[in-house]
Amino acid sequence: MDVTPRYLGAGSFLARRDPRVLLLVPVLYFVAVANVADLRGMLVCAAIALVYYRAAGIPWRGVRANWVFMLTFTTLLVVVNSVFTAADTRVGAGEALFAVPLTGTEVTWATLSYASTLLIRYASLAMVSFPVAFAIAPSDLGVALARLRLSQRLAYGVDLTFRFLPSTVAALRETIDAQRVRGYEHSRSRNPFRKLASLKPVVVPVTVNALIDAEDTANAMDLRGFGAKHRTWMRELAFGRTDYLVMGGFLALAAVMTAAKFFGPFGEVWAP
Amino acid sequence: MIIEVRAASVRYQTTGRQVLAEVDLAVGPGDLALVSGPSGGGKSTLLRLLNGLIPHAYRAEVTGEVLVGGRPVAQQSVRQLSTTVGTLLQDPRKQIVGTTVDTELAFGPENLGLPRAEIRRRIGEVTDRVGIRHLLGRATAELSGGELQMVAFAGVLVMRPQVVLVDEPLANLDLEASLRLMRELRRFVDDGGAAVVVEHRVEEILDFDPTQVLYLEDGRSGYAGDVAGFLAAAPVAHVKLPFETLVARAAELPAASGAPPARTAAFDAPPARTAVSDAPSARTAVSDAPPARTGGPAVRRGRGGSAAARLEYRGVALGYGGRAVLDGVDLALGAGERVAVLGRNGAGKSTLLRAAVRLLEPLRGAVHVDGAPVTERSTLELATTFGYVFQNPGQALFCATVGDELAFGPRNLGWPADEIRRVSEDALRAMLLDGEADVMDRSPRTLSFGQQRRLTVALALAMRPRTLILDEPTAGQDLHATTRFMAQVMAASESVYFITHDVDLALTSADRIIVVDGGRVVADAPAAELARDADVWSRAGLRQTSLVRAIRDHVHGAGGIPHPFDLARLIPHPEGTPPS
Repeated sequence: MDVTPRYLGAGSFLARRDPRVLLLVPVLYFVAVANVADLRGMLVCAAIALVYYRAAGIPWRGVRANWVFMLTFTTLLVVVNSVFTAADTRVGAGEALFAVPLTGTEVTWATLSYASTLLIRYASLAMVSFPVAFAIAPSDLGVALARLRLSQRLAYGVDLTFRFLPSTVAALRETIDAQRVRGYEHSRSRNPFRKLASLKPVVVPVTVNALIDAEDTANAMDLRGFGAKHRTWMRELAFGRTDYLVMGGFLALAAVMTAAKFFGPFGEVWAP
Repeated sequence: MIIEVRAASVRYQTTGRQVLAEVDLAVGPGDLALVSGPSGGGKSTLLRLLNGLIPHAYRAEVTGEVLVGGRPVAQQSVRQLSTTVGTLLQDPRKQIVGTTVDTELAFGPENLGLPRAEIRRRIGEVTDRVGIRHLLGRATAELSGGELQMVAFAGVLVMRPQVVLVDEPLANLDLEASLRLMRELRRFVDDGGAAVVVEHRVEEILDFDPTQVLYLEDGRSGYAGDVAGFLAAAPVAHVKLPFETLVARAAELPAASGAPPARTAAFDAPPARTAVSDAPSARTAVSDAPPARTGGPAVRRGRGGSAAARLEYRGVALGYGGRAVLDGVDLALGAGERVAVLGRNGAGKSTLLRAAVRLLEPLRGAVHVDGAPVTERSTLELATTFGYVFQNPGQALFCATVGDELAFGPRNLGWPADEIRRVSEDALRAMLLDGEADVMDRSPRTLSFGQQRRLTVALALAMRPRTLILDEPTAGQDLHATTRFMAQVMAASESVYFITHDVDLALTSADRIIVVDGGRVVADAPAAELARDADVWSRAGLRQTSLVRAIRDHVHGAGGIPHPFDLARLIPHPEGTPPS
């Protein structure tokens, strides 16, 4: 299991942006799509998200597994929440296309349109969020958060997470090996409680050791002057013209979609 | 003076235990102070006192005077002290917080709020000074242990401290990397800085000319003064002293009790000078072992103490994710042998022995255990053949009581309750832990570190293995603890294979030494033969300690090596003092 932060989009258009842009765009995009209930409006937003995603230059091979997981999870979520449970689509019932076996829920065009909108909303949110994970240099994340007025300690905590993730996983592997030679095997039981209890020989040593190590690390940081209110961040961040353009574009999208909800057609579920 | 400690005493409020009593220390520019002493003697507490963690981070009652830069430590914050006192922890992995070398080096100056240009200037200066400019831009997660240590040191120097405190620099690394750090530290001192080095491996530090030695025992100053006085007064059983010092103090050396039982003719021989030279080996198996195969193309296959091979590698390549760490391994380790595996960090020592219990599978070739392919047995089934003990005891301990901890392995083997109780008691007895009050009902984490280490061996012994495999069994332990621990381990098992970077431990505890380097087994020979092979030491990055030189000069047989005390007694003192 490789948990080293994967900077897959290095050198891409988005990787060259100020990392704060990549952190703020998902927020603006969320504001934009949260107001869109119409499938056509959502498709417009998704097209913009796709262009943005492509600009991150993230190779498909590197994130295929992430996308499979994400799409499987969201499809299940959407189907359960909008099809099986007959979600309120806020338009007339319409003509029933078919009934879901077992639940007997009637599915209409409006139901399918609503489900598609939800699915595209989640997928496009993932498109604008993936660059945060794969197109920001790991060492830039802390400083970006600090410059977004997050507390210095919290921002550095993010950096520390990236720093200690690989060693924590290495410690986990080592602990599993140390217990395997004593006969430890992960439970194959279907009982979740039994499964959880079987993790004790691994979880307890890893947690206790991590806490002990954390004390040493906290001391080491204090001994190098950490904790003052003001600190210099070596990495300089400055918005460039392109950064402003990207931010402005998404700001405009959020504003337009919010206005469309109140004044235009995108506030309601579209039924063909 | 940069540091002045006068009659300092420390009592931790959490435990109520007094850990330092009436200790004095003065360190000025150009001083390299060595602080030595057994584990638990108060060395780490002294460092915490000097860098301000006591009293600022640890609740403790401090009496006496502790001045840094002429001001009491208690009146300065840890942050203020950090510009005067730099601290290098024992394990650099806990100290390094940056994801890249650049961010790591910038961390301290950033905290001081220095301008970026100044930070860049300091980083450039310190990387040139320490010789790590080529590491700039690299991810810290990809660095070797030695590189991490140097980066951590640079991260301290970049704060421009007047004095650097170094906690056990030799504990975690192979000597080559550790000594490089010590050379840089010496240069820092020569340039007008000062250093306090806590280390119980005295011999290696003496090469860097410490200006003073403070020996702490039970929190008290056992000796404070120059090196010559220390060498004359240091307790020989507790401090690893240069062999020449042992020879000079031969008359006062104690019997080598507590050492692993002797297996050599030289050790068993009467104390006459002739017994050392040309001593025949008492153990047929050892004397029958093939001559040292150091780097030659021939198949490296040693012979064990008994005819049967317990663990056999046949043309084996071992590695991770398809990348071979070791290749072309042909070895047979005997069912009654004590085998040490030596090599620098990352050479593949652990990789070699983990294949014995199927913690990794060979990329090529086959591993056999007791004549059968290892693949025929699971890791659990192999636990009754090999008791594998990891370096860090904390990785094994998870139960509420020692009794439950001991029962975990046997229970997995499906043994009945009364049998589990019996083997648990036997294992505790073998590791001398049965004398602890109510030990079975105690939490394993309440035991001392040394006791926890012995407990992890007991956990392996409770599964009745025929061979113990120990990964760095004595790292960070003082000489007395090491000697006692190894004696217990050797007595508890039919055979022992252990991984170490401690050359002297390998020489004095093993019948046979295997050296791995550059992805290959580069040497496989009885200890005495290996000591005489000058080539292997330089090629494999191993240090020729004073004991290695003494063996080369004075032990000519093919067998094992006598205990250093016995050897020292048999060698005439250069100034003419007759051996005892």
